[in-house]
Amino acid sequence: MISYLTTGQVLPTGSPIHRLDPRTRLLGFLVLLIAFISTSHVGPTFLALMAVIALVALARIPPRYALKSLWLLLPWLIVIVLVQITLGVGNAPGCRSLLAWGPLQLTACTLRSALITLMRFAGLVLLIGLFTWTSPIPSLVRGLEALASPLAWTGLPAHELALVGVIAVRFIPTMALEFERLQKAQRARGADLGGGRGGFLGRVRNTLPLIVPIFVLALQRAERLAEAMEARAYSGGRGRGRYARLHLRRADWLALGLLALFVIIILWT
Amino acid sequence: MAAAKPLIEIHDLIHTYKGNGTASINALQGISLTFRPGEFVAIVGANGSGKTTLARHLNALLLPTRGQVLVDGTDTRNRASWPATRSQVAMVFQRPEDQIVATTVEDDVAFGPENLGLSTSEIQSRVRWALGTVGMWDLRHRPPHLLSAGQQQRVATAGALAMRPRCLVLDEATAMLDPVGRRELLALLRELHREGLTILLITHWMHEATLAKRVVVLDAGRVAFDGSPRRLFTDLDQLASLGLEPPPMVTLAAEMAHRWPDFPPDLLTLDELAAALLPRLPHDGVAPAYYPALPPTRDTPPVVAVHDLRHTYLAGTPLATAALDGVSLQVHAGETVALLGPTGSGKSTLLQHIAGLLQPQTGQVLVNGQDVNASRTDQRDPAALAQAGDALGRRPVGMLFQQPEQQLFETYVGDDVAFGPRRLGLDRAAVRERVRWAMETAGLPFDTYKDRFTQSLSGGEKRKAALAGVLALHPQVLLLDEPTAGLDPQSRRGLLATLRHLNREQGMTLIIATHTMEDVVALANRAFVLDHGGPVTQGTPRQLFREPDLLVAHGLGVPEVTALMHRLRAAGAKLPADVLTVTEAITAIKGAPA
Repeated sequence: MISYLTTGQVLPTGSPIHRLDPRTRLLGFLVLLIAFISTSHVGPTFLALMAVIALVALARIPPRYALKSLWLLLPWLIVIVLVQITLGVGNAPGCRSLLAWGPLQLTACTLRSALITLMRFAGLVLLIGLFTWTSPIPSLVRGLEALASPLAWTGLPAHELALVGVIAVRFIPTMALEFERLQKAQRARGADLGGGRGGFLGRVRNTLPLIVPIFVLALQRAERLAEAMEARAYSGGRGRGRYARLHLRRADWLALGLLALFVIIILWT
Repeated sequence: MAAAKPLIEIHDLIHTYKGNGTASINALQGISLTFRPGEFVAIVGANGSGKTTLARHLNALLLPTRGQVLVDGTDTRNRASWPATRSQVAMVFQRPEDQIVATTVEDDVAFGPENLGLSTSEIQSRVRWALGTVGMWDLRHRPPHLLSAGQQQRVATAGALAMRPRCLVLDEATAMLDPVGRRELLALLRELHREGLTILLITHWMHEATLAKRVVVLDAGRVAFDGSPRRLFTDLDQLASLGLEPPPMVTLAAEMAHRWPDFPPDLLTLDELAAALLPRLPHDGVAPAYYPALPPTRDTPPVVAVHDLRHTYLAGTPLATAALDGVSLQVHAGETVALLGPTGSGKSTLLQHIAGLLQPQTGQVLVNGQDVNASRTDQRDPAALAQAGDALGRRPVGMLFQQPEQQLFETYVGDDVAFGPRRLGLDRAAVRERVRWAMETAGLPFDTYKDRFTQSLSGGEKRKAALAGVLALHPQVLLLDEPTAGLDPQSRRGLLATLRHLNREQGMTLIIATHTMEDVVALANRAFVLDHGGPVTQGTPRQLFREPDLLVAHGLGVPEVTALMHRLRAAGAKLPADVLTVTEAITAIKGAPA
């Protein structure tokens, strides 16, 4: 059960990417994400893909580990590309025909559009992977809080939202373990015998009664946590101090500079 | 010193919990106490005596129904001074994982100082100091769920210390810890006290109370005793009238007074007792006298056989950890085998393999000669059916998990206990009979409890209900994972008696994973020590306790009496090395030639 929690787990390789300020990483992630989604040309997509690959290498992610995430999505990619070609996505009058077979036509435009899709998906998967492999949640939350705090005047409760996020992330593994234990306790008491009514429905029927204890446990836990927070003088976000100040260092300015350059090139092409 | 201004003053405190409708519970009925700076006070009392309620009044988590609580002269009703009050009186709670707010150790310790609105540099220096004090600075980047309970509790203590309090209140903070965690936390408290911190230790355990300079006993919401531990524990009649059990050293010392009329009457600790006994015992340096070892093997064929079992969590990822590393074990019918080891030693993983809930990556687990995992591959296989339950509807293996009171899932107690028998396809009458037997055996009278809501039971009752739910499967082998952890002394005694009955009278084979040595002494005929997933040693409890150093090196301990006897032997006294109980120790010491 715990194994599924490792997907998207941080790989602490101590690379320059890991050492960047979380705000820099967040900004970079957003810019690349927008680049992939918004362009519809081969050049910029290719450029963005190359940038992501370079970043993965710079983050010292083992290539096999990085490729594993792509490998899982490969069947979907192939299906999408085939569908695109069959439907002739990207076809326009005046496109050079490369192959024709009955009503199906492969034009240079279709091929180009399929290529963009391929690069876009590969790039996005790697980008999301890269982000999770290099960004521990606490620093991420701190970065988000810092980026959102200028919006405080709009009434956005940046601190409270960040705290909710932190607590959610903090208790996901605990609750997953708890659920696993409940399921095992139930199995140990014969839940998997099923009396001939096993299968998917049986599993659903066995899981339903677990929802009540899971909620009861979560509520009790929440009560105890609230008490512990109160005992440590918590009274909302106002007037709180801060343990860690975020500092932009030279590497961050360099990264931000490269990012700006990237944006200019993309816009220009 | 005598003139020190009181830190906490409690005047005629009454606290009433509003119940549903008319019922309301008077948890505290007129308590007056004063705590001065630098005191080390233990607050003891049975379940429901009001200890926890009192603790929550000390830093304004609860407010008096009547009466007054003053912290450093300020009434806790004064809302504006709560931050100051809470930074002066900090708390550590019972459940380690439920008081850690943040996703890393350092962020959590920073939580309190951040709430106080301190500057970044001040917060950072406090976090560094607090984590250094509890010895967790090196693990500051860890997420809390990857720490042991003992480490989590030290993080929680650091979180309290980072508030720079004058007083630390610990509400049964050792209850969920293994021996190492407990030892380390208590040692930390003594050191903090030496440095001038006021400590209020709330506990069920009398031997922890002997660490304090002053003991307050609560009984039904009133102060029943307030004085030195020496005065409390040396008056055995008074202790009994308060419903408290004397610590083993006190019982032993009282008996010694019969042997030597001039034996000091007020000894509390192992050190004091050792010092008083040594000059009175013969020192002729003769070879150690062991109790004769009982043959550990039995003629019956093994019910459970584990061969070279290995299991790695997250295998094939950079985060792989070996939970079991080549474990072999045989358990014969009618035995009670203890699996000993600190937190994370692989005990639970081993039990889950025997229960067929985890599949071996390598190795084999046989129950009654059948491979446990045959049942997973094909439900219609005759071997699998034998695994599921024989013609009489007996399951070969039943398992009670850690904190089983959290695993009840039906609305009514009777239905929850009936879950297993119903799955075995028994008819209504048979299910009812099963449930009745299981509940009565576990100590919950069937007619009184079957229609109660499971969530309305007390903690101890829930644990009994969970045990009944497993017993209702009529298992041949019962696996128990830390069955006594977190129980108060009375519930613990009850559970141990039930388990002994199951083993001795019902012939049930028990395998118990535990880190409590007293449970091993009370139940097991054989013990098997694991550490880091590998076997360390095995034998009868007597054989194991001959080598206390080995047990301590693997994160365990020995009962206090055994430790005392080893201390005396090391100093040259001619005494057996494998004494397990106070009674045996008394016999051994009295029998020693004068």
